[in-house]
Amino acid sequence: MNDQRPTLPVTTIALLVVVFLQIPVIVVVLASFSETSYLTIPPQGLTLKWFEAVLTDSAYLGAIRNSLVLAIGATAISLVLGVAASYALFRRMLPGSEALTALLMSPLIIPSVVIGVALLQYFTLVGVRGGFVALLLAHVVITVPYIVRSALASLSGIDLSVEEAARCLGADGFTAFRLVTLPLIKPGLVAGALFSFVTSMENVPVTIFLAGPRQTTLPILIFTSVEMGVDPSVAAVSTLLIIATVLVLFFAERWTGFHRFV
Amino acid sequence: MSNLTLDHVVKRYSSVTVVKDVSLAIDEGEFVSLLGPSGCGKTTILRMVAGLIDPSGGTIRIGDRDVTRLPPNKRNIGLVFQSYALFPHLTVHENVAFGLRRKGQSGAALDARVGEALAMVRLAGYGERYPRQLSGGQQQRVAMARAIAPRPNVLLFDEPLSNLDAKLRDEMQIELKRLQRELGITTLFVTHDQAEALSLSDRVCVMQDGVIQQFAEPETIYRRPATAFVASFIGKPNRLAGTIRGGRVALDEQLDLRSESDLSGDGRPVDVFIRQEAISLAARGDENVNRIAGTVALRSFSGPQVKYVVRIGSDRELVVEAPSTGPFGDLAPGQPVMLEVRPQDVLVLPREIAL
Amino acid sequence: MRSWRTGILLFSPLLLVLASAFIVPLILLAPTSFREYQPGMGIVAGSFTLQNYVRIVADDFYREVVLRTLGLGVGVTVACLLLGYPVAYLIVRGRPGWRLPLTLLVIFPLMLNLVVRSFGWIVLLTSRGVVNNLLIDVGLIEAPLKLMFNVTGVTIGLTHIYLPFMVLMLVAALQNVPRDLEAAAATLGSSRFHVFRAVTLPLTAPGIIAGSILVFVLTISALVTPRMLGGPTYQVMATLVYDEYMQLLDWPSGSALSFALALATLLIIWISSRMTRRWAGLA
Repeated sequence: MNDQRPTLPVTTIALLVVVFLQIPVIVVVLASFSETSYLTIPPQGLTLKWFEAVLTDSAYLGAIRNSLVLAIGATAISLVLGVAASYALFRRMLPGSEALTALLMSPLIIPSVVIGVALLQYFTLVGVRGGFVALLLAHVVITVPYIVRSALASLSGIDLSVEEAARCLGADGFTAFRLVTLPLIKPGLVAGALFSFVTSMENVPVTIFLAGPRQTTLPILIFTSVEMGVDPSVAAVSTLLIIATVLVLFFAERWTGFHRFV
Repeated sequence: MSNLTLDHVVKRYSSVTVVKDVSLAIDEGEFVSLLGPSGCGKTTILRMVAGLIDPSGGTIRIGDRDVTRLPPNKRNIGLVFQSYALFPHLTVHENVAFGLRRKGQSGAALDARVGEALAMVRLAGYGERYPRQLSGGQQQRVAMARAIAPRPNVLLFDEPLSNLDAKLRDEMQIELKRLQRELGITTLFVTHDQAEALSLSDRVCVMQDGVIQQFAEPETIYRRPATAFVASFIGKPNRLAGTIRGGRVALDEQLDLRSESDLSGDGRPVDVFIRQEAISLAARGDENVNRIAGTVALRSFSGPQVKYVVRIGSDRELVVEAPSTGPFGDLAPGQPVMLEVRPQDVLVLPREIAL
Repeated sequence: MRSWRTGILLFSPLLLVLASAFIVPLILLAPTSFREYQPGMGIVAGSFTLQNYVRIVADDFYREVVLRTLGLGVGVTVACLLLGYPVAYLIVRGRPGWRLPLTLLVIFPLMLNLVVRSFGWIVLLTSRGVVNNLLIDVGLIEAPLKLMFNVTGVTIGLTHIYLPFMVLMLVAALQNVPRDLEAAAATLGSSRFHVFRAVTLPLTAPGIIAGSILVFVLTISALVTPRMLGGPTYQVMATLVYDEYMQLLDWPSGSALSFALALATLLIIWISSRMTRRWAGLA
């Protein structure tokens, strides 16, 4: 059907926009190699010194470590709690499934900054503000909707009579879930876990209100560093993040082919 | 092996009672079909026997164990699903081994039993394939092997052949019957296909609207249906309204018929069922046979059979089926004919309002 | 059925976490927003005032911030629509071989850290940044343009961040338009543009609305990009909340503003879902 193919003007605009989308990323990567502390196009001199600075700076390393621990921990907890809750919802084990699902997804609708200040106030009241557990709980709250969404989507894609078959063959409820349902929803869960991980890693609006001085995460460090001026070491750490993201996506796709579930 | 007993089983959902007081006693090793239209409750009963649905009332016994409150994994049953429900991420071997592993078996003994089960369904050597690599019929057979491998006390089938094409279905029916005979497991088979039920079963349980209409051997169901519903559901019957008159059933002023059904109660309104295939166009010269004069109104050819709509009396019609290659395969509309029906093929039952 | 017990067992851990770390904290914002705050002394215990809310509409500064936030919302949404529609159209109606690479290129920025992307724009837009240097070198301008710390920089940054969302929603909407309809209109005498205006556009209206609502809501809630590209003086609602909580310690005012923001968001989402339901019935 050639009639409704995009015209040349439309195609040109679209391609320009797609390039526009990539520009900041390219710029950041280039800036991280730039010899000078401000970026020119083309860059004057290439160097790896900013990378060296970052990788030996304990503040950056600490922030990277905090971010990873937080993201992995929150994703793990969200997976366990989220899959359990999604299963109960999907199998209609509770009344008002629709209202409950909306409740589980609601952290997505409330502006992050509002969640951040609410938790700041609450945790201060309870006395745990600045602690790691409080931060972890906050990250579970903001990541679990992605797990729930992908779990519900995956569950609706499998034939649930396989679970019934497993139970008739002698498996109790949990064994049937573990041996049959779980392997079948794994690709979708991986996609959800990735969304969850990324959300936690890049979060600022909630984290910035709750992180104590020893729990600074990477995005917050970059955020506050920038207030003090544009320093290519920020670019270097950003480039490292970009590389890490690409690698994670690549391997996740290889192992589970999850792109169908995005 | 055990027998299966359902005692006053009821299933109620919030506004609707799907199964209304069903009691059924199935003997050890017997093959019983639950037959009926969609919504009659047959699948619900099967799933209650499996333990996938809780009954609202009544008890279910396997052997002398009351299993009513037991979960499916403790009932030692085998269930073959309409959609096969094979585990897509496991090989055929692992699918069949699943129930055995749950029982704690492993190693050489397990492999031997899996091999046995696969051999019984004629799929020996397919162990390393995955379900998606198999045809529909093969998947169905793996589902059967998987269900029988752990040696269940009761075997349950939920319309297992509905997804197969006609030819494959015929072949599988024979396989199924053979297998069941060999194993001698008590079997409950749900279907909406009456030919299937009649040919496979030791006894057939016809259901309508959550209630058992008749539970008897296939031939009895066919020849002596207990209710008007059973009579109209089995075979392809003509149904006419009539009245009892002097030991016969009268279709109108002139026409009455002899029958072997209950003809008591003069003046009683009844439904008369005559199967299309039971009406003969040939003169048999039999004393007792009913003779009905009529005119051919319509002829419909469908290959091996021909159907005639024959007008009898003033305003009644009978549909008659005849072999198209026989002497009466070529009657033309307008032609007068003499129909013959044996008294035992005239089924008279109390009239039911609107079936 | 016996599954009720299992259901509660499976669902309650998450419910507990959400209740204690989400629902209750949000509810607790309300009482704070009604308290009086005295600079230098803190929250006056037991006080009750509507001042925090009244100030949002009565005070010039607050009103400017609110209007600016809403205006940004509209501006960014329109920009994303105008720029995103061609991309979505190319993905859905363009050459099939291009589809996957284009989609990946659209999604890829989403996977990167928000802070990193905003930082990239700083590098581009700052007075000694890439854009200005390029324009000066080429001779188009003499002094650097002020592209940051104002509405220009923030709009560009936010548009860039939220464009992929708009594109994805439009792609979904376009996919639901059967090509036969466009072909039918063409055979009935419609020009290409007319087909687009009379057939494609109306049928993608639900997607346009959904994408617009999403981008609008995200834009008015944004904190990181406006702060990074707007600096401490160019305030939107979210950055004002941040300052009130962290710098001024005026929690009551911050809570009131947060509540206003949250309520505005919920209201917009609710209205739009009512609208799409009616619209979907007509489409």
